[in-house]
Amino acid sequence: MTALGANWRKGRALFVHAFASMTEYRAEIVIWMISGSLPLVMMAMWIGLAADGPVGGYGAADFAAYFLVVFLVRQLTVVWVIWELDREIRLGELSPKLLRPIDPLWGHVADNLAEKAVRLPLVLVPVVAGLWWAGARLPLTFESLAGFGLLVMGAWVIKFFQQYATGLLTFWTDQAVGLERVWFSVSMVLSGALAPLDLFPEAVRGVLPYTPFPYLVDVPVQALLGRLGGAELLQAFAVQGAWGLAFVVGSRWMWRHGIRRYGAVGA
Amino acid sequence: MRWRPRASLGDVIRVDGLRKVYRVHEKEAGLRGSIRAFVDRRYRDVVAVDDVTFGVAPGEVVGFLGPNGAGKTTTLKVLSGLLHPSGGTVRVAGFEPRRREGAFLRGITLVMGQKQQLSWDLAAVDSFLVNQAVYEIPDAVYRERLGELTEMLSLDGLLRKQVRKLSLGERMKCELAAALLHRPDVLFLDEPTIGLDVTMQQQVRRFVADYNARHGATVVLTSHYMADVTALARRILVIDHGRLVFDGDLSALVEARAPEKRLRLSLSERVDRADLAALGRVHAAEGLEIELGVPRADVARVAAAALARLPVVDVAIEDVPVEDIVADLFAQGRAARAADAVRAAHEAGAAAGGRG
Repeated sequence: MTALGANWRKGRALFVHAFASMTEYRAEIVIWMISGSLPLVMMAMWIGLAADGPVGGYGAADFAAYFLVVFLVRQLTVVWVIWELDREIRLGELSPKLLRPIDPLWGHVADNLAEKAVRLPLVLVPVVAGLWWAGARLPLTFESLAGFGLLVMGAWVIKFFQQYATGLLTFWTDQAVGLERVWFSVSMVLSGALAPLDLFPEAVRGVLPYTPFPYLVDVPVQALLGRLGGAELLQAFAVQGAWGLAFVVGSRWMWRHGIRRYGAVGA
Repeated sequence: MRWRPRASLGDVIRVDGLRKVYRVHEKEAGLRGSIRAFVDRRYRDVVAVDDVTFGVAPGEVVGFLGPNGAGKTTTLKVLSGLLHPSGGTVRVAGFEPRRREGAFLRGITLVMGQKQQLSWDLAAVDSFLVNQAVYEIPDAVYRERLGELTEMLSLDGLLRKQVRKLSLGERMKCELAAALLHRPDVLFLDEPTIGLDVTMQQQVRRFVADYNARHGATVVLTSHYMADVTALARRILVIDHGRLVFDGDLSALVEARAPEKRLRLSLSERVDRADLAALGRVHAAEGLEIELGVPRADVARVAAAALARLPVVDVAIEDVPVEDIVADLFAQGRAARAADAVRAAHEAGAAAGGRG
């Protein structure tokens, strides 16, 4: 068996196993999906504000399109790995995973991707129906679709490895989950999940492109809405890729150092 | 008892001066304690394993005995690479466990009676398939091994049931199968029979013995149940407060620590205690059931005398239970530590007095 073939088999086995687990939790996934409907609440609010005329260039249909796609992006990039790591490290549940000759990271990746495979069809229904109802039209060119796809993957990489790195802090402190809440609050505002970033003050808009936040929501959304040109897309890929790489490298470094402190508590 | 560290070049496991120190956060009880801990965290170092040295030969079955918190499980976790040692060297099959290299992990397994690797919501066979891929087991080999494990552990009908619907014993059997699909050469078993009923305990013991005989695997196990250890291991390591206090054959321990045998007598009528004391040390005399301690060399003579002089209905000659011997060993350890503490306090007091 070649190394590539063996790795393919491992990846497939982990995915199949994770997919089987996720289908056991399908009802829970729907509930989680509904719990992520804050963008739809924001949509209703902004549509109300735009009733008397566009706000910052956004009419009612524009807000509808923006927030429906925000909802889609956030659903496709949901990660929860910090809760898993926090539990596994504190309660010693990491032990059985450490005994296998495969990095526990891949099990978490498989769980997350399998969950997305179950969630995607459930998410598309309300998004497509909402866009049709609001009369919002997406350009749907090759450029906007491919750009959107890649940027969503990049957003997932940043969110996943940022959470992974934060979760690994549990090796040193039991406050990792608290830190994650701070990150979450900041990123809700600065990623564009509550309001399009176009509507932010000039000074904030000048700084944001250098932070990871816009690449989590606003940039992928603008790509699907056809508002980013080729050069802007390339620039977005570059900055997003750099942040993704930084979180991947950071989380690997933390894993190597943190694992020495693992207490493997419990029998 | 004095013993010498047993380690030789051919050992598959070599542990030299192993030390493991945990840093634990200390907090007083109650609100005050919580506030103080919030402002000023205090830590204390706890030595879980202290200067432990031993070796295990290929194919050997070794049992770890010790009270709760003695350091048995910590040692096993260091051996399987879960914990980084604080000092000393550890080698298992030529590898340094803490590095957790792929080749090392493919050659060992650790079964923890209180932790599980099987997915709770799926059938055991679903988790087996993941192990097949992760350990790179070819299909034909996987089928053959699964067949063998199914036969040895009587797994028929269990593998396709959701794991959470299995009984504790059934789940443990599936856990064992999952842990052994890659056919490791070194097995670490941590309390493998905890919580199981007597029949299931026996099944698990028989399986481990079978596996050791069939595949020549090295087995290191810990257990609270003395029966696990006496049934499987000829050699035992007794660990207490992180230190190895005995390493040797079980029979040698029994002979050295228990120079007596127990003579049990059932009588048809009551007799004078003086008549019993003339035969040996009276351990118990409840009604007509008598238990005497008799030096090993005198057992036959004393038994004959008892039969001749007393109204004996039934007689049995037994070894002192291993539980009692080990409990005695731990009690001695505690007494020695207490004596050390008193001596140290005394010396400190004397030194302070000298200065004053």
